Amino acid sequence: MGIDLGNTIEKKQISLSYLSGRSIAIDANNALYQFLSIIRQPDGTPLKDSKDRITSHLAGLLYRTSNLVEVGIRPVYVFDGAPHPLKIKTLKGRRAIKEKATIEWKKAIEAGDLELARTKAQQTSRLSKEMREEAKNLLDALGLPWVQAPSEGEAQASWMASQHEVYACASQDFDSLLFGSPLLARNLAITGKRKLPRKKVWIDVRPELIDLERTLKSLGINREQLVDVAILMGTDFNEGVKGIGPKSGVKLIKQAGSLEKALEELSKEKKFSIPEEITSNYPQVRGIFLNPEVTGVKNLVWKKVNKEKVEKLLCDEHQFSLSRVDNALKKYEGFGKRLGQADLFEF
Amino acid sequence: MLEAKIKSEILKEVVEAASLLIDEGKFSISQDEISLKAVDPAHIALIELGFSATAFDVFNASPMELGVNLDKLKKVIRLASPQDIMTLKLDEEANRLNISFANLSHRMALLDSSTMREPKTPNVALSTKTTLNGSDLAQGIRAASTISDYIILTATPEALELSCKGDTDAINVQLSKDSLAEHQCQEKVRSLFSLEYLSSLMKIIKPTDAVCLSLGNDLPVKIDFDIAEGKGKVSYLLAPRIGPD
Repeated sequence: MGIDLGNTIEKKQISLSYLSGRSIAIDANNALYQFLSIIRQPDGTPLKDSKDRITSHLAGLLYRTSNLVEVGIRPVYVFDGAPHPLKIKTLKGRRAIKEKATIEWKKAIEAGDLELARTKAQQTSRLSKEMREEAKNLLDALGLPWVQAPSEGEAQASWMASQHEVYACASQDFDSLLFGSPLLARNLAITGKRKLPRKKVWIDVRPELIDLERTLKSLGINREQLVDVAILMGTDFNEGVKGIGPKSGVKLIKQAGSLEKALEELSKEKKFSIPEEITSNYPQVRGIFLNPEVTGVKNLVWKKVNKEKVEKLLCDEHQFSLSRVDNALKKYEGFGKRLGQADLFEF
Repeated sequence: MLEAKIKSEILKEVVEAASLLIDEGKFSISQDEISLKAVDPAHIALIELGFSATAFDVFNASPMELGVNLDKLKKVIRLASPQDIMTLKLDEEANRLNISFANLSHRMALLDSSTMREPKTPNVALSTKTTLNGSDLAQGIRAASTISDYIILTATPEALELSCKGDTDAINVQLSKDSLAEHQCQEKVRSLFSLEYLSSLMKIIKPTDAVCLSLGNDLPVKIDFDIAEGKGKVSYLLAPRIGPD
């Protein structure tokens, strides 16, 4: 979720192999949600094993990540910890949307509208504690490192990028920029053809790279001010001012210089009402983005894949097709062989 | 303008060297030389090759850049027998290279070379220089491939050593200074390399070739040798593997 800075940001289209040899911190919760949402049958039912347990997240993790390791990208998944108290309201709102979508999904199936059923089903995705644990076990078997963040996964991943423990962060959100990640990669895990919901249109989703410094330069503001813009627009931690989007937000903060002054200006205009959440909580929200709770990470290690362990986990436990799993594992084996390979242009 | 005639086996050598790391390449053509510089997508190896106009039977060219689909060119050349003389003629208007030999002619579409960027050659200071037979290098690499996917190249003042360790086995090939055509080394240096890259490189090195190899400590290896009957040169730079063996 997070904020949408949309078109105000300059994105550089890249090929996956552009990131070859680089380590990338991936927002695990964000990725797993994507898998749960996208990897579904035509009527919206997720993939399940013989015991009726959902396996879409594991399928996504195995197959989508295999495309990354195939070109030599070194992924490290970063999992969310406990949510910040200010996020609880957002999370509750999301839960309500899911409950509503679940009812609408069932209705759509009864009505025979598969398109609608699938769209609604996608909004019902839930990532349980068990699913996260299964994902971590699979990553261990694949030889890929993961990090448990004390709080926000994106904050942790961004911090790792800012410390050069990894080359970039990967997420669909722009929040990583607020958290200070110097580089943000988008569309990494979902690269390929994607269908637009409710339309018979397929679009080509390509990876893109966003440079924080360049973004700030082109917007003419600093990171503290970008956080202020986000607070005005609304973040996961506060409701925004209705009617303020990325463009008007940047303009306001640039003119006023700071959130405090911008709020003063806004309060003079009748058409804007400033939510109490901003006036009372903004220093705290700023702190969440600028001084987030993170944990030290050193010496991330990528290991060779443990083929038997992966097969046991996916094929024995969850009835994945052995031949499909083995095909994906070939990519991980190739990755294992190239571990430690230096980039020629590092010299 | 480009009009040239060349023996197919010579052109084959050049194109195979060029296509070692890339599928599409940009040849730079001057009045007396053709050259190409390319790096593989993973940034692990870089190849520079140049060959003289004297490798051709006929060579008339004005300076230009040619974007070529090397895969396609390789397939065309494979249809020729080694002694066939191939005629290359540029059709500037149609942006095509017309290739003909025996009774076959192929009009090959060229690629837009303006979008193909030339990589910078990394500047590495390598302290050793060894000249050895292609066959000796090939033997060491083949031996290592039987048990591992990497090889350790070590130079000491006394010898060049090719070695590796597998899960249970170890292999060591020693080439003493006396058995080498040239060996300059002040102090011991050592680097690890992927056999995947070296094995494919050996496909274009002949057993009788004199191969010049330069090493450093955890630095790329530089491998130089001649192609096209001595009228062409290849310089290959391969990044090392770093970390635990």
